[in-house]
Amino acid sequence: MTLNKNSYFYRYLLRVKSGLKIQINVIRSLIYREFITRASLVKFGYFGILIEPLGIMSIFLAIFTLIRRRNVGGNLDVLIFLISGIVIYTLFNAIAIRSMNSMDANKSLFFYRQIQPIDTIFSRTIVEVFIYTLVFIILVSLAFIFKEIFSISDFSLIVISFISLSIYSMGIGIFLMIATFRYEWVKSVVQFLQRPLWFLSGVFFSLNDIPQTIRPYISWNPIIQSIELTRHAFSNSYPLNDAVSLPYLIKVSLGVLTISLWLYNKNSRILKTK
Amino acid sequence: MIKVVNLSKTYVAKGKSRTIFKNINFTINKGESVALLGRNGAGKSTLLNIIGGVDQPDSGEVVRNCSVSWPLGLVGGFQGSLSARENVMFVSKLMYGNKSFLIKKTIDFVESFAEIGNYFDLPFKTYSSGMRLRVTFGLSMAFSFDFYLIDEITSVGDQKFRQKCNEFLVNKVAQSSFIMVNHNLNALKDYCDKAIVLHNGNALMYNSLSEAIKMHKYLLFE
Repeated sequence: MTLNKNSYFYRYLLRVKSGLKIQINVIRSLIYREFITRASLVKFGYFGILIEPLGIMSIFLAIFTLIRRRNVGGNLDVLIFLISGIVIYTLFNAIAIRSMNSMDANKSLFFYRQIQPIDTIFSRTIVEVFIYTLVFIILVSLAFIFKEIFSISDFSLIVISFISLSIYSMGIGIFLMIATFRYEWVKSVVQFLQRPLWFLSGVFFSLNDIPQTIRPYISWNPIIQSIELTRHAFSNSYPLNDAVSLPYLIKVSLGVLTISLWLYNKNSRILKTK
Repeated sequence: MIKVVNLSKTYVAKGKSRTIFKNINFTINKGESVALLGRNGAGKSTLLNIIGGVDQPDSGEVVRNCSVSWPLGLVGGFQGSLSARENVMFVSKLMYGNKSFLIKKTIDFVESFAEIGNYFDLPFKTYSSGMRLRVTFGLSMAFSFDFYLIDEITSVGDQKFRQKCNEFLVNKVAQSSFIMVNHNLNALKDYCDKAIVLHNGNALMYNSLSEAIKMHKYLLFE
């Protein structure tokens, strides 16, 4: 089939192609900038970027392994149980909550016309996913070596729930960027809700520990869903509650992203107004 | 060609809204250099920012059928904790993608243009304002745009640097078009042949610069 070069469709394709090329350049350069900026703020260069999250998480793990000595469910190791929780929650926090401030932090970037507010969130998501994937691998490997165990029952489930949560976090990040830009009070509300969210996300408990009556009020949270799925993926013997399901997590992630992108489309012009 | 269609802009501060433009229209063709005239606060820089896509209008649009620079003279878009080299690297990646040959050429050009020695590898926030201008101006000269948006640039820096800037600008104006804001009216005569006078939210296009300057002076001292 030959394509008429003057057809609407052909011109549309060309527009999409050149737009995509610009956006890829923008995201690439933003990723470059994000990495060198972070490296310039810490010691030991690029390796230093990993030290901060590793340090904070190690202290958390040390404290909570002492508290949670008892069995966490099935044959799952306590350390793996806690690592899954803290890494996934911190990933959400790094992408979604910090995107809230991205409008202020990146205002000077909109000096270059190509850069759109959403590009800063795309690139931040890619950078954070990269960093926390490495952190996750390092922590889990250390736990395996230290405890002399090896248990991964379903590797693909770990990957899928990690990706789904990244998409969910990005959707929430876009939403919060728009909301805080339009209504400043949203920022204080989110900061107020941040603590309870940490407790409700199941970072250091299992959904099975929660009494049946209040379980539905907690299980809707995609973060706890992703954490529980990851734990189950490390060891099949870890009991998966009926309220947890992968299709639910994927649906919520894609739904949130769709709504956020729609809202962004409506608001993109206002976001760049001084 | 830059086409401005029904552009309106209002600023709201402390509950009071101030209209900068109301439904202004004009077209600047490729090859024409235009000066923006008007008293302080008439909206010259705002218009330049809107044409450059740094600011957005309330209604109306700017159609750009060619490459347009960012507003020169504003020191924006640079990260303070990064060195000039890294900042220039970032912008070249933005413009060229992954073409390492072009990126290297840009960095070398800016380094030799800025003449700031070792400072080129130190954090940008440690620079003096003159050094910042040297780097940002050098960066804008490293790319070739169809339109350059120039905001009061020729009035900063030491004399030697000003001379250098003028030499580069004269070379550029031969190939590209300028949209210029400058309170030094004599400097405008070197680059521009047309002018837009901004007054009370209206934009008047003049085909001759001297006529526009006459009008501008009349409006200033009326």
